[in-house]
Amino acid sequence: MKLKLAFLALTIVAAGGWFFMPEHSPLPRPKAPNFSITAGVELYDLPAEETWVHFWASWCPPCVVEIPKLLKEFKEDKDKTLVLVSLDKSENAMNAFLDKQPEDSLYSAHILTTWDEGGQIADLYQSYQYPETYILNEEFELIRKIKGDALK
Amino acid sequence: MMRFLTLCFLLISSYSWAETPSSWQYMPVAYEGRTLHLKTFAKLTTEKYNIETRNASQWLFEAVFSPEYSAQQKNILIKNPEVISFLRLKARPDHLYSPQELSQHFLSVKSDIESIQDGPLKKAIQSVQMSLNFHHDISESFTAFFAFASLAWVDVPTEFHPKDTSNPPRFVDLIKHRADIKQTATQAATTYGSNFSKYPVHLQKMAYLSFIMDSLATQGKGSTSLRIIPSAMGQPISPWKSILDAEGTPQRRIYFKNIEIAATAHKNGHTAALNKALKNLAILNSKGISKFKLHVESLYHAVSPLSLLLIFSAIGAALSSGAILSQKTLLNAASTLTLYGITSLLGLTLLARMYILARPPVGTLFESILFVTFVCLTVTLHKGWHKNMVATLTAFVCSFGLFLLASALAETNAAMPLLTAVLNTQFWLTVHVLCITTGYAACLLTSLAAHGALLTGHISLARVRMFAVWAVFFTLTGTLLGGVWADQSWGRFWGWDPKENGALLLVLWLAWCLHLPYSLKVSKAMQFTLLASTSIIVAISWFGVNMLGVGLHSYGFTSGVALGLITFVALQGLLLIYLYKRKTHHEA
Repeated sequence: MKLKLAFLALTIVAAGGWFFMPEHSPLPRPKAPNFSITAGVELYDLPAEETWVHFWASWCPPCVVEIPKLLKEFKEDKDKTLVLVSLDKSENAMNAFLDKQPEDSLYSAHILTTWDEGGQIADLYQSYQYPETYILNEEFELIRKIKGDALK
Repeated sequence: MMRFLTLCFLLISSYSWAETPSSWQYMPVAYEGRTLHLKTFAKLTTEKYNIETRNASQWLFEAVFSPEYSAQQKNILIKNPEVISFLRLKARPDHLYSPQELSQHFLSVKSDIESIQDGPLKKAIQSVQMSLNFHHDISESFTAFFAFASLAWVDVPTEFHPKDTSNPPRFVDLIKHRADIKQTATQAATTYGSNFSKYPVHLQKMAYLSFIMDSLATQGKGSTSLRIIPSAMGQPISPWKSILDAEGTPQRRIYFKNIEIAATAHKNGHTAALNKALKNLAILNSKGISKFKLHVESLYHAVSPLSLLLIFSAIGAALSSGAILSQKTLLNAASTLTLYGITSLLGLTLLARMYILARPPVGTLFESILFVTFVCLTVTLHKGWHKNMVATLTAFVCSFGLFLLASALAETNAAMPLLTAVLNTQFWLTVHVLCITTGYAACLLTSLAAHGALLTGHISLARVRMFAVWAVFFTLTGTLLGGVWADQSWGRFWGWDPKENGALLLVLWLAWCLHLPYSLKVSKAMQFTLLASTSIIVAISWFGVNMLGVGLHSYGFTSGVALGLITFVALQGLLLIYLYKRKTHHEA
């Protein structure tokens, strides 16, 4: 009888412990704001499972180092899409830098570039220090934000 | 009577007049790894930092929205006369000082502070500094959203002007240009040197702007406590941290917009707009958070169950001693009722803590005391001992003592800090700690029963031994479970950790007491005395080992208990010697 009681007590304690294990229910993931990448193409139109929205500028030294690495990475991994959002003062400044990159890496279907006129997209994402990368899932929900070098 | 009621009504209504908007009070704020209502956050932090205020959320509101006004309010409590004379403050009957005067006095004794030796005075001064820092931390919360004190749009280069310049410029308006401004200012400094007047007008503006923004940001850097802005990952953060650490997320825009509206509305006295913005913020922050949980925690801190338990156990002790002396059945019933009341209140407290913290209620030394008391009281009620008034009195006195001990430890633990992850996640550890603490409770009961036997002679040896058997069962099982868990996570079953040794000591002691009569001829009185002194072993293995300051069971390290422990052991020893002498004398 006593033994049974003891086991009952133990079971209750164990069940209590189990019941009160913290549940890891993360907050609902925030959806990334949509923006127009080029004429007729919006962020939400992209078909990839994973999209990287990368904020950069040709006047920002760490960005200039990182862009070629990113292009190389995405050239090999075709399941992901890279959207390069440039914060350059003018579209020409952006193009001058991009033209120096190897052509085959840049002009493919899953690497897109856009010039953020007046920093509107950066404002939408509240991104003011570059480089910064937002990683989105196929639902375009924000799963990660990386400050600085995204490939480190 | 009527007058009294009217007075009460007036008091209540005047109180509610002074209330801040309810959406402010109920705004969820991240604190210590969980989320609280802002009013609970305010209550806990003002208590922690010795800030005397009738209405903590009102204080927080003023500190956030009117920092200058708040800095002049006398509400930092300094009772230590040494600190007051050290800071060259005037002694005041209410011991209250304003953050502003304290900052000035701290500046004037800056060089003396460094020369103070480590000791109680240094600690007391540091605690005042922490109060001051906290006030600063809170009052800087929204400064990025206030208009610059000495800057208008004409002082800002036109390329940074937003479309709408009807409101004076604020830090938030210029966040996105900060890197630019800084870079230009640095370039200007390298070209033209450090003398502003030599700069071209455009660069003068830029340098001044950069300087103003930098000094504001430096002040804002220390503002980390009011954590209401979502970060890119994980827990919410304070507005300044979000700005300075580049923690911007797409969601931040809406939060910042609402804070901007609230700050402007407060400055212009637009109550409706202010309330609306605060309400929006509260709604934004409540996303994905259990409202019920927030309310449970608010209720928990509003009730402050530990002080209630202390009061009720004192009342219960008075009632039951009254019942013993006067033999009145009414007093008898009242004390029994109080015992039930305490037990259920304690049970509810433990349940609330379990729910709030989502872990078993034995994470800290403080909690383990509450748990042990709960187990002891439940056993008392279950066994029907409350029908005996002496037992009831003992229960009250013991629980009062334990609650007192708990409240001594509560200083650090009432705010429920989240513990190192081990206790939160591991199933085995959960069971292990619950088992061990139940074992401690059984040990205490053994000791109490043995005391009773020595004192009255009504309790049989078999009964006391039965308790000891239970105590061994739980302690041994608990220790073994701990070993299993340790084996699974660290790959060793036993590590000779002080706490493990303490549990082993307890098991060995009880086993020794239980087996003693089989091998040696010892008197009953001796056996009772040995079993009664289990309380000393419990005290040592429960609290004592924590003072060694080493080992994995770091949840219990405390410094203030040492003296109490020594006193307890000494008194208990003397009591047991007396009881033993008395018993043998009786038997002879």
